[in-house]
Amino acid sequence: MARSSTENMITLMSSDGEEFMVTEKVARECTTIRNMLEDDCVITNIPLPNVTSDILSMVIEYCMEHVAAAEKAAAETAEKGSSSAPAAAKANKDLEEWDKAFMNVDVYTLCDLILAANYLNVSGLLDLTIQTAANLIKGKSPEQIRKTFHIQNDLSLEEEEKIRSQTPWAFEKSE
Amino acid sequence: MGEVDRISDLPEEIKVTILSYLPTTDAVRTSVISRSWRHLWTFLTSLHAHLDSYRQSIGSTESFGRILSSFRGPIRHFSLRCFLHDSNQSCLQHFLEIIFRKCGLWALSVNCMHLPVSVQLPSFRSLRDLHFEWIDISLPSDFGGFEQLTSLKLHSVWISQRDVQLLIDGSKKLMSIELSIEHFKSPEDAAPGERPSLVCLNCPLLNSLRFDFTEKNEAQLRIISAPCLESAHITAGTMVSRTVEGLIRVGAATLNLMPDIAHISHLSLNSEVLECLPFSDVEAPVPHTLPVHFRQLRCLKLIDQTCYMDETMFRVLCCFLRSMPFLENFELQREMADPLMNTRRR
Repeated sequence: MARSSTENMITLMSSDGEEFMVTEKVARECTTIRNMLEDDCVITNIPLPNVTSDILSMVIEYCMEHVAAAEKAAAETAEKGSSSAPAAAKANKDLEEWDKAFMNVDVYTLCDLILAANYLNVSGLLDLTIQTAANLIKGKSPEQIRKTFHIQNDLSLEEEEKIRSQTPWAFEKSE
Repeated sequence: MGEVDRISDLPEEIKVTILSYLPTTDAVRTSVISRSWRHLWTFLTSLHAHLDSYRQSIGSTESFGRILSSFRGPIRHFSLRCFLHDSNQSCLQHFLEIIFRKCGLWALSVNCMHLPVSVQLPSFRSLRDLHFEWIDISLPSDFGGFEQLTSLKLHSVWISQRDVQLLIDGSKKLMSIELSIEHFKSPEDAAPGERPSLVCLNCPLLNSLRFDFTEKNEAQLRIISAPCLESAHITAGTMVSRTVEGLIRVGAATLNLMPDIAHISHLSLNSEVLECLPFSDVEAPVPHTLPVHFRQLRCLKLIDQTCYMDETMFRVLCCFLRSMPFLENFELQREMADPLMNTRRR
């Protein structure tokens, strides 16, 4: 994973004991880890008891992709003196496409990724996963949402009817 | 894995964040998913909604007020697009009063979609962004200004000159102003001869300005002081009076942008404004000059809505360009292509 031998390597350990070697730059994408590194600069081994190995490997994949994209953009700017707008727009679009493909996961993985992004404080990934979850709710009926996320309805018919009658604005079609 | 409900087990603040990414109708609808989702939406701090009293029931409009009252904390962002028929118009004032009582509003945006509604704007202390469209606005008699306001957008509004001036003078942090006033209401106690439509800007932080004047409102603008102004977008409606008197008056209004117009780096105008410049009605081929030089101007955009550019207008344009020695970028946007008018640079 290291691009040059001078880069510091950090070992991240998942809740199930698997070890992941990443460059310090990739690890710093997680604000939680960046804060740990700033408090104690000799730390090289970080246990993450809240994140399983399959989720951690996805978070690392996300961070590596975004670090690589940022490095590429910086290199192009340095080369040409200024970044060309069309190239930057294309790079952004490519990264967006990558994010979209990356979000092609089941709802369990999505929820685990939200928790991990929240715990590790990876703002880009948290935003992406929350937006994906919101998109699964948007425009759907309550019944469709329950089905998508396997939510058990524990409201009685009367209770549900009462809630609907209190807020008819939300349940009527306006467009 | 089976049928495990993972999303309901997420921490509440994360679930509320998910709801905050949704239009408010979708967020409120989640209240019937299950017991644990019942009150989640009431923890939201922003509301983006659409209200249509022509298509929705009366109960629906009434319940919207109840929804506002149900929010636990302050409403920070409120944006509403509404069609309200006459019998429902007072509800908008009611909604604003509810939000006002909760304190802490940052951004207010209301668009009444061509069905203007009268509103007396409460003195939201913490307001940063105000955006009103198709609203008949008045200010409370004890209006004390919006200390935190940085962006003011009034499009197609009815307002008195006194109230516009109060709004601008009472908001010293304004960085962006957009004004296109549909009608200047005349105050009952207007003194004879008082100019009802002159807006003066004395804004220490103003960076960007859009101003639209039309024959209907006869709006005039004068910049007293705006040292940070960088970009201005000025349009005159196609209905601008073509009489000589009208031209001079509106032309003078344009040039009243002095003294601080000289600092701007981005200017966009439509061709009607150009026609209103004072030299455009002078026939003699005297060397035309503008009383102001745009020494900082780097980008000029001209939006040409007329179908022709005659010789006089061409001369006016050349003269106009001469007052901008450091212009780097000139963009002419027009519907009809005209080979005569290629971009000229100096």
